[in-house]
Amino acid sequence: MNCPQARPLFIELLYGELEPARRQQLRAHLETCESCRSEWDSLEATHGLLNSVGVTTGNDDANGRPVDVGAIHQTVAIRAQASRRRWRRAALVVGTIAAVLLIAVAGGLQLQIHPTHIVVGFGEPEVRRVPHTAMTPPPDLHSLVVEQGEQLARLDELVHLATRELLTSDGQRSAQIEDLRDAVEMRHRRTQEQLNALKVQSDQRWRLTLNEFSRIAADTELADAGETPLQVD
Amino acid sequence: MQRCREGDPAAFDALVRRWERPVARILASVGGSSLGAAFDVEDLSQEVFLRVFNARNRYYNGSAFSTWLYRIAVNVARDANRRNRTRQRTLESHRPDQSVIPDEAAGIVGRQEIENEVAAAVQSLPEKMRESLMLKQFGEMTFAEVAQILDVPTSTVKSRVHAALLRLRAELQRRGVDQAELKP
Repeated sequence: MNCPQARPLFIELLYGELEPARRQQLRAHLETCESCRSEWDSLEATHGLLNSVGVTTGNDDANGRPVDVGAIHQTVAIRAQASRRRWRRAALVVGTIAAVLLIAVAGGLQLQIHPTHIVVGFGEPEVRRVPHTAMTPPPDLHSLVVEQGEQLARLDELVHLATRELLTSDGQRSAQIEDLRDAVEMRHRRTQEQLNALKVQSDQRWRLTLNEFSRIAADTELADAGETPLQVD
Repeated sequence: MQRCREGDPAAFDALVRRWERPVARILASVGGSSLGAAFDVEDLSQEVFLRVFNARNRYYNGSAFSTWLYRIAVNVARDANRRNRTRQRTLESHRPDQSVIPDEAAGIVGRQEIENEVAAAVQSLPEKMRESLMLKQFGEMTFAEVAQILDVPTSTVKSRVHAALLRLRAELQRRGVDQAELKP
């Protein structure tokens, strides 16, 4: 047995857990190896010192009872009772809160949570005014179709009447325009006739005037020269 | 345990009577009741069996009862150690300057002083190392049983105990306990 094989066995030898064959081999190694024997002596000395100091359990009397079973049962009972009391108290608190909330809600508590504030109020909630049209129930589909059909028929009739009236008035206006045109033409014709008549009269007057003037000039010249005046037809 | 789960008070009483001493030994060893720890094994035993009673419906019949019970005991001792450490830190923060107290380490001769030093050295060990060492040293269990309670491999327990003993020796030497006093 060499040192690396021997050292891990020290602890088993120290506490009497090394099998006899290995124990003999280890003892033989310790006889010859100074280094291993030094470490073994240290382990053995410390182990011995610990044993000499020992531990006491605080009650080494054979008749003494370190543990009081009655106290354990009592502690368990007290803890269980305390636990039950805690549960009862918690149930009472939760029940009270629930009852208060129920009463508050039944009494008309209004709680509105807004991003910047919370509104708490009591009483009936504000009634929103709903437009009357929204309140009337919608008619059934059949009566709606019938109603729309009647409205379309009335509208069609109105269009027909309007068209007829328009055509009638248009015919009357056409007739009036025609009359006006006739009147204008007649007046134009009369005016033309009057103009022609005036022209004729004017021509006649001009000829008369010119003739008068020629006669006067001729009379004047002849008178001056002793000749006869110019004659116009 | 089955009768205890069914609500038989006499069964629980018998169970406590059967296991209270091993539990007290586990608590004393893990907590080190005579090694300077400031808690009472009786109070912790009471706490262990109270936890056993409350957790009786969670015990699985297929596992060894002793392992289940000792695990609860180790957990109770761990909790007590944590509380104790917190209290010690609080006390130390109010302790006067020790530089004015004469150094008496060189003159330790009495058994009480050696026990105090050993207790302080054990308390200075890392928790996992201390648990393994104390369970093995004072729990009257094999390495395999300790491994089962701590839920680690057996080889881990062995290496932890080995390292703990070497570290403890160095700490005792540092504290002025003579080499001769370390001899068995």
